[in-house]
Amino acid sequence: MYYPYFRGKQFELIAIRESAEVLASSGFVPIVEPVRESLSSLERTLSALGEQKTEVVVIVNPLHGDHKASSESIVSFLADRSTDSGTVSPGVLLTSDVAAPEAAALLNRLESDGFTAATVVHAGFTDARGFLAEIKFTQLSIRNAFFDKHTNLLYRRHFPDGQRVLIADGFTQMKNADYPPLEAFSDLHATFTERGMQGYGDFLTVGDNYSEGGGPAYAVAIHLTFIDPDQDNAMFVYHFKSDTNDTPTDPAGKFSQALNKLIAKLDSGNSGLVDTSAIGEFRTLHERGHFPGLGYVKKLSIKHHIETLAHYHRSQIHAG
Amino acid sequence: MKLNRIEAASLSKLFAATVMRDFAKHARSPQVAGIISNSRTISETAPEISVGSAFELAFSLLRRSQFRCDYVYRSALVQKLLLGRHTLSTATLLNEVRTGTAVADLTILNGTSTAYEIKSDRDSLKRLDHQVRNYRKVFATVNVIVNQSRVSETINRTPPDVGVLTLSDKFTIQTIRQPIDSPHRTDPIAILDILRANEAITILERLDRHIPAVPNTQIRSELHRAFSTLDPAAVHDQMVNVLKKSRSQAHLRDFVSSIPNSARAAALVSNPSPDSQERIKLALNTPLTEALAWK
Repeated sequence: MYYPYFRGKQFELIAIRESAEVLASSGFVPIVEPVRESLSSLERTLSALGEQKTEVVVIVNPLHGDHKASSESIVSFLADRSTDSGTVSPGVLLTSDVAAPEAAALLNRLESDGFTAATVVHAGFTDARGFLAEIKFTQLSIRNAFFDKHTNLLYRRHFPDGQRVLIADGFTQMKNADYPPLEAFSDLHATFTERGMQGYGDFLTVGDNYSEGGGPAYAVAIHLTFIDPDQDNAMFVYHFKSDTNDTPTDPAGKFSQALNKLIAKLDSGNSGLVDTSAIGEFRTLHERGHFPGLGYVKKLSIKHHIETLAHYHRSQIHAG
Repeated sequence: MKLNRIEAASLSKLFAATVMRDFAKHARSPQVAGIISNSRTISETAPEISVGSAFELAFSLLRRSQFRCDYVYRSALVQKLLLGRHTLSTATLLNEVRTGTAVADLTILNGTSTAYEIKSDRDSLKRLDHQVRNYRKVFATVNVIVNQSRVSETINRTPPDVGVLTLSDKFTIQTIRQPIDSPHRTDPIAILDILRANEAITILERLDRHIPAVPNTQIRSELHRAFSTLDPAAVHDQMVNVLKKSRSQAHLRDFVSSIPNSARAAALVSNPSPDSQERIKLALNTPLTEALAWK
């Protein structure tokens, strides 16, 4: 159903780990593109997911980060795990840089390593015919995930079978200081079946653009999503921002300015925000006057997003 | 052998922070392979040398070129002053300190604080007033280093306490106007802005001041309140003492002396861990023929 797409930075991996139970009980399948050279944090995340029997897809040929030059270390990392855990399956990213034979060779390699299923992520690749000809004899059960930005209907029409997932970025990235207080996020969670899909995904409240670290933050922003039943269940995102944004100093003080706005919104009673574990943590941080660091705030934002969608699908089942 | 403008710009990128980051992380850098294979001067003169020697060769060309880049000046300051006049045990280098809305290229802390603004042969002097005004709030001594041809313009554009230095064609630093060390004209609040919270707290303790125990979201405003009542010269002098320790590079002394001169300024500011130091050395010792295949 929901396939959140993660670049496996530290705080994202922790968010997945801490959301393992929610992901499992909701039938959500995270897709992780490892960007850090060390795979130990990924290992811990996969174990946490394994304990909950949560399915997870790990991209073996990342476009970004430390593994973009070679897929070797991730393939062998996953191959080691293919026998002891049925919950981890490989994903192959088809970008414009990948040629059809190369992609097919990677899938063959996965098949010979003992995998029975794989997810192909269509992300800018255009040679659909060539690719299909190359993989005609594969025994792998293939799930197709399409990046909305890089694929059109004509392209997707080549892949009518199996599970089909549409992944669209609902998060507009800009300088923190430039965010409006409220913005549309996505309606894919409510419309994916009408688009001929069995699942949908997004880049959570991180966004598709990948950047390493980045410079000092002039503004601090807390991004929190909610679903509005009065607007046909469309999803929106609040950007709670700090006020004094002219220097890159005092992120802790700026966080408390942003947090005050979030708490005021919550206390107004009409925020539309689901009372997630992350909201509980934000309330505690507010009471303690504590700044846990920007990565931690991002983690809470991600967890809130996942729990909000879990809550939505649960309520749809009850309603339907 | 004279570099043209394009090749000079390209070779200067060998000393970019991204290259040192790649060396530190992967012991190789595709960027270096690209730059060297595109440089006829380097790849054709001596294919059998090491990457480190190629850096030396590139640097010697850059410093003789008519287009001396920022790194030539930066490297001169590090080699001649930080590692020449001082040592890493007695002095500490701060790289690109943000002071207000300007960034001080290099600052050396020894008995006092000395900021250096580098105006390379291609930089404009337009922002100089603004930059110097910001640096004077934080550092007791401020110097500008420029090409000889721009000395008089620089002298006219800056207050008399600001030092003016030049880098000669022979790669020596000459003082044209002596700077005046003036810790009393600094501003404690501007100083606070370059400090980490724990550094600021240490400075207060050394001045027998304390802030109340507050949650971390309020620490900055408490520090702000405390610093605004302090004597500028006293804060400045404690800033020098505290930062010399907290940002000390003494542990990099052996590493820095083990790599070629030309790479020292770049390697030093990357502040590599022991593992990264080994990888940087490995990269610099790689034969060029092998390095050209880095990708």
